[in-house]
Amino acid sequence: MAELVIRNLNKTYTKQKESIHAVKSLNLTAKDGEFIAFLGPSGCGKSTTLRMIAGLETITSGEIEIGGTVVNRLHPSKRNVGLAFENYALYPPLTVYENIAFNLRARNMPEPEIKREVDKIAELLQITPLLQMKPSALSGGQKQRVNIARAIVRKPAVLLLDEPLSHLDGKMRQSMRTELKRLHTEIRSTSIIVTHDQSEAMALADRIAIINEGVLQQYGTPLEVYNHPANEFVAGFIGEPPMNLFTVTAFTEKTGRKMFRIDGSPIEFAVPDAYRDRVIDGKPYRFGIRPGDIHIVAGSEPHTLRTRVTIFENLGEECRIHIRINDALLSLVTGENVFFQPGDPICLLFREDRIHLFDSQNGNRI
Amino acid sequence: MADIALKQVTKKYKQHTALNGVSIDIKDKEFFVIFGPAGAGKTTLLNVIAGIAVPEEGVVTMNGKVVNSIEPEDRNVAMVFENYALYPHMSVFDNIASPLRSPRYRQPESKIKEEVHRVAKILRIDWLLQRLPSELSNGQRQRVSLGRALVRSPEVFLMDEPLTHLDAKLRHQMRAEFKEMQANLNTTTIYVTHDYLEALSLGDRIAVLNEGRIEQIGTPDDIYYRPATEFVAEAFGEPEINLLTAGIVRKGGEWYLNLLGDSDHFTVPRQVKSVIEELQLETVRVGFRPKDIKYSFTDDSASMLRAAVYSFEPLGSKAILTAHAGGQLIRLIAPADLEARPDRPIYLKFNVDEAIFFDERTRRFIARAGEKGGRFVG
Repeated sequence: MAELVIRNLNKTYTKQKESIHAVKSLNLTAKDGEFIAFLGPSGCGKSTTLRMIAGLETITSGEIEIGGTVVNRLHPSKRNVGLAFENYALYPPLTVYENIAFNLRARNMPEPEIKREVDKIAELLQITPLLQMKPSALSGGQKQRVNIARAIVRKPAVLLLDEPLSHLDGKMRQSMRTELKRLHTEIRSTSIIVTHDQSEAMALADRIAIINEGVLQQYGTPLEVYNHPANEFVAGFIGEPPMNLFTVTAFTEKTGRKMFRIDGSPIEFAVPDAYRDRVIDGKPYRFGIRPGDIHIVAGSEPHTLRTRVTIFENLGEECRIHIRINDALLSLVTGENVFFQPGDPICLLFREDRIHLFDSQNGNRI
Repeated sequence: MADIALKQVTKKYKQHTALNGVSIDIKDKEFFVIFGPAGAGKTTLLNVIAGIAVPEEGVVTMNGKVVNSIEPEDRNVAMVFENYALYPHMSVFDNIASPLRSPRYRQPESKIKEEVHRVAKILRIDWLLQRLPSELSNGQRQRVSLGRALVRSPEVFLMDEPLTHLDAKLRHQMRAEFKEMQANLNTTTIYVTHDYLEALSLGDRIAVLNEGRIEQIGTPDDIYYRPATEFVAEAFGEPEINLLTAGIVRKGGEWYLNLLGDSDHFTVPRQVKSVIEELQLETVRVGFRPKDIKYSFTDDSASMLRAAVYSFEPLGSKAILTAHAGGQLIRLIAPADLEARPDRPIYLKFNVDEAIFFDERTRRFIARAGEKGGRFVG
């Protein structure tokens, strides 16, 4: 159990004579017992950061501190971290029991104590019936459980998980995700998970660090990053189906009303009150609204957008409606029992308090 | 113009039976989805229709004629694969034109130009004709790949997981794009997928395949609201349907379900009762979709079942709440900002009127109380 502090962390390496700055001045703290996700597209530096914490990668500059001790120069085995990586790497000739016991043996723990610890962890991960089996006889999900059991049996100060669920198929991935979340509430060790799957990060983590091109974009709770994305990258990366993002230009009507027009289309709608004073006529903005924050309304209300349905999908739990705007689609999701055909007229209302506006130059939230 | 029928088709690869007595009738111009998990036999089924795989038993007919011994190139079917396989050094125009320039389908250049433009218009890529594949987005590349299949005016399209390799976000958009295009195809299409959202969204009808056998053939409405087996019920919907075993308890004239230890509050719906009576069942399996379970943190109704929060997974617009009750995990949908810390007591209300009932021994559909359905019509 320990706090993890990352200070001004940098990583550069040379690949084909080209210098790559993989992690750029990263600062963040994981509180004792917190579950943190490093989230970003492949190549963003999230795994490199995890490997620096584990001691598998050298640190170019900056500091990593675990439980008050700077670990930069400590050997991986001395850092008190538990590792569970994407590829299982269980010892094939050893039974599940022996695989889990391996690290405890290395520490010269007495045999009865090892048995007690292994049995306890096995029960927690629901793998007790598998203990005498060899890894080759296990399914992907079972292997991953053993892998996690092996990482936590040593009671590490920090548990590091690198894409532990990405090899599993859909159903198994979902149930393992639920189990992993439950497991964390039981063991309460500071945990870091690396993932490229935003729903995994949202579901599991207390806080999410969203990383792109080596730079931390935002660090916050799932609700914070979903409801108040710091920039357009975060807005587009978090949420499924993804946020609708369009370039709009502001103008003032003869009546004095401030309006947005979606570029290259005749679609216009009123600028929400909250942004009215900050929006300049003739200037482009990036406008964002989540599919769940668009309501279907009767035509009489103000601020509505009148258009026609391009595509209607019924997906059982929800319906999705898509409107073609230039080469893009405006999508909305509703749990209501609705039915539309292509070409049907529809009136939409963007929930004013759920509109996101970003600077069209630097992408930052306005 | 083509309707396709398979009658009792069996296909084996050495010891492995890939298709086992499969019968399907596909109507002219139908968009027919073949759905199943990896290894179910989906691609084999497609290959049998294409003529790439020859079945050991059964017949395949097209427009009423048996085609078992007809070569793939003589079947007038067009395959669209997961990878686009465009010629990188050729423009979009030349990629689409390539089948019409092959020795087999050769056409005069004036006719080719006409056809390429016709197809490009349908797919809304007529403004991209001079570009190279490397200058296109994934969605555009896929349309070009479709265009190349479309230009031959095949009688049947065979599509093998064309959207699978896209990430979740792109898939949402591409599925919609695809559906928009589909309206203009006007050609019998057989579409293979393991993604239930694609199946529900795109299919006129869906065949659910499992270990080489058909579990069910039906409209999206049938599949979602009246799944023939527990396998089908579990495959459609995320989070997956909650399936509970319940004994039938008779008290006077009323019948109750013994659900998670409570046998006082879940009346067997009238329509279901008659079926259970007829089949003389003592135990049933009851399926509740996550959205058909309501919850409260206070015990405000006698028909609520006490449980505890097991895990809470927020997903932005909603959350998956897993509750622990009577030794079982129950998944339901909750708002993402709910204060649902682990082990907090929670009370569940099951909507029996939306439940789907299965035979406990055969795991096959027996009844459903709700008249609901029809949501998929159209």
